[in-house]
Amino acid sequence: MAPVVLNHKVQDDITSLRIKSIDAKVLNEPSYFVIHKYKKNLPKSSSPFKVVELKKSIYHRFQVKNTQELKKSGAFKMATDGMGYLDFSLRSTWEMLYRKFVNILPSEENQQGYGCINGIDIFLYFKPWQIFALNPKTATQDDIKNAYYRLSKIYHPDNKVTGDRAIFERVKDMYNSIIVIFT
Amino acid sequence: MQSAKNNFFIKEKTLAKALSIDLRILDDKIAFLESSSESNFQIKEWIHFIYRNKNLKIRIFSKQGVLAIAKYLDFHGKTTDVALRSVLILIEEHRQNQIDANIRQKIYNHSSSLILSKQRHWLSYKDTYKIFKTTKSRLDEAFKNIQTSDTPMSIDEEFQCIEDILYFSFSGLEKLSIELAARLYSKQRRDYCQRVPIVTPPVLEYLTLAPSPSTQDIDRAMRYAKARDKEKCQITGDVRDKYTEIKLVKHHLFDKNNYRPLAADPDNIITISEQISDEFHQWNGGYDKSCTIDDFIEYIELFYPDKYEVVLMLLNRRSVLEVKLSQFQRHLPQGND
Repeated sequence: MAPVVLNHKVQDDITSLRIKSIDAKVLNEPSYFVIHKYKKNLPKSSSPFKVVELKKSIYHRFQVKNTQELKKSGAFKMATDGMGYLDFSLRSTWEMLYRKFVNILPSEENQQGYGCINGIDIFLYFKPWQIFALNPKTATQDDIKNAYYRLSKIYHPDNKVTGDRAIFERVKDMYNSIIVIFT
Repeated sequence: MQSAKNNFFIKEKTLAKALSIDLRILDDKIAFLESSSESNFQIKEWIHFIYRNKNLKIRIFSKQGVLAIAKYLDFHGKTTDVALRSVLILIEEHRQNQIDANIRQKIYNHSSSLILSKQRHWLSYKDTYKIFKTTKSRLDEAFKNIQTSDTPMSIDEEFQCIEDILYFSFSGLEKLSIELAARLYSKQRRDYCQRVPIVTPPVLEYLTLAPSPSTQDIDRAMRYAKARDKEKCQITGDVRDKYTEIKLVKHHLFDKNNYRPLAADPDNIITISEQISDEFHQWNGGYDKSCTIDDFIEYIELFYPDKYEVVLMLLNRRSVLEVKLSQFQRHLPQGND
């Protein structure tokens, strides 16, 4: 069976049952089995973009015609300042650029698993409003604070059960990035 | 007259090439149009062209002049669509060059806050709105619009606060330029903001890496300035002797850290008493803060209003230094499209 990462909802449920003196291992195995079976029956997710499609979107974003022009583009240089060396021969580079400058890759929509909140992999995407499930046009300062506290309770490292420093830090960065408009 | 001269920018050879006609033929057409009685097609010196060399009759055309000639040729079916497009491209290129030159100058004058932190380049809030030629409130609005969009700026990557001052990284500036270019009302302002990220990187790279005078050169210039000023405070006229025991310092009118090309220029150095230097820098916000000759003039006008001859000397010095700075700016690199 392929290794499957249990999402936090499942992990939380297992933890709560463990508290009721049921061994977590006993619960993990059927969870893996159910998820594996479920995934096998899922319709094929949207096929990943071809590199040429990824490139096309990046070229469009920076208004250039090819990779040579992209490398020379002042706007691209500014936008990627601090990102280090970019190896344009790698698909992963184009995917990373697509994630940062264009949109969510079709194959990465509604993701589940470690680091995913509300269908977004928070380590791959910076989408605070989706993570906090808020409408940026109507959300108040209190709405943002409440959403942040809700997630903090789950991921704060002091939470021995569901705490996760990396996730918490990323959520905190997202909070600090959007709450700034109220300061 | 200077601003009128700036309206003429297309050389006749360039125009002939764009119109795909021989220079002699162009000359004939212009001679005809100059003497034409048809007011629709008549062209005139100082409106449509000026002479760069009157003896050789070498002209430079204005946008109006170029369009008048193109219109005449088109009306009489003596040109092609391709040629007309080339003429429009010439005009557009000039417009863009003017915007770029404007941006380069803005960046040069407002990049004193440029810092390298977390492997990124950062510019302060103040420099940012100055470079974008906008206001604090408009920049705040743009920032808010970005932060409430699907792709907000990320803290420590695209913006950060250093000592209570907001800084934007280059990627933050790029987002601001997109936002402003999309939402400003004036097309001219939108075009300007759109060009900022294109023009900025090579200029800032150049400013960051620009060869600067050595410490020895700066010391030499400071010694020269002190001797030139006869070891006397140029504001109060005090000299250091056994009675006063004042300490004299050599003050850079454009500070030496942010205006490196002027750091070893004796014109940029003035001998003043240490007390005035301390007071000025405190008034200006501290020794770490960038200062220019304008700040110093303002300080003298405020605290030594009777020293009008000093102000006149400084104003004279300012015009000299500004010419030197503008000469340096001319060598700033072009942006890459």
